[in-house]
Amino acid sequence: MSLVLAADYRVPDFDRWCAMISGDLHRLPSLGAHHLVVYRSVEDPSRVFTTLGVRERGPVDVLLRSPVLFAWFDSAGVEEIPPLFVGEVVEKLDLAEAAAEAAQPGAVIVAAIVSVAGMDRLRARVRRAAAGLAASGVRRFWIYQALDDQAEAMILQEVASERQAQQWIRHPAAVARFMSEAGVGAHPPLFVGRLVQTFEVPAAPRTRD
Amino acid sequence: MYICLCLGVSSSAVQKAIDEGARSTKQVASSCGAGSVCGRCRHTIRTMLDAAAPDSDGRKAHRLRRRWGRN
Repeated sequence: MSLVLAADYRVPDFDRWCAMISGDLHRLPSLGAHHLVVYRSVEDPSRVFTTLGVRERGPVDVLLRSPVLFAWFDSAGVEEIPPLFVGEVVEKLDLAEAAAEAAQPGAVIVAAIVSVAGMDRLRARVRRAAAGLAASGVRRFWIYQALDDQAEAMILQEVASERQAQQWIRHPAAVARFMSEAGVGAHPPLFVGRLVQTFEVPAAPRTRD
Repeated sequence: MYICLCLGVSSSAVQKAIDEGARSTKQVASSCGAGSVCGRCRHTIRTMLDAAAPDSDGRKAHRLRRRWGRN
């Protein structure tokens, strides 16, 4: 099973941190990581949202307390560890022709981590609303379900432009009203940002038995 | 979401500790363990405590008063 680890936090020096990421990638294979995606807020240049794709290889608590994960935050200059979403994808819709290709740097993303009343119901509603979502500029729509709470979802929407994203947030269709629920409890506020880069994590070197 | 990575404590466990009466990060740590090892998640726990504390009208503040500049 593939998991995603996601966190929303601030880096004191974004440019320095960004330049260091490539050098830090060699540590990540020990987590089972295969991809790292970095988004930067359009509203607060020091705020980032990162997702790390991980092949599940054992208990989650072992993954969480890995020194590699702590070193990742240390490297970003983050003293206070942000809440970490850990989950798996349960719905993935490509709503535009161009969405079949990988997202390009600069792509606009709206990320929400929220509690949902019924995950299956949300998935069904999103599938039914696909045409309306596409008409509003939503190009991709992913729902991830948290491992630790079946009612917690991380919802990522790639939107065609920043203007359309702001419009979508101000006037969402009923199916996307979950956006107004972001920021409750330990959940971070709604994140609107741009894709900085997708990093492929190099495979761990094979060791001899 | 996981709040305490050291012990793998989720936000629902922290919230449960608060709902059951924890009023400080120390009490949360005693109740569910969160924040008792490296302590780097205490800021999040503190904001959850703040959000649960009754405001001047005696109502619970439902939203985190996040200080995004704290890192």
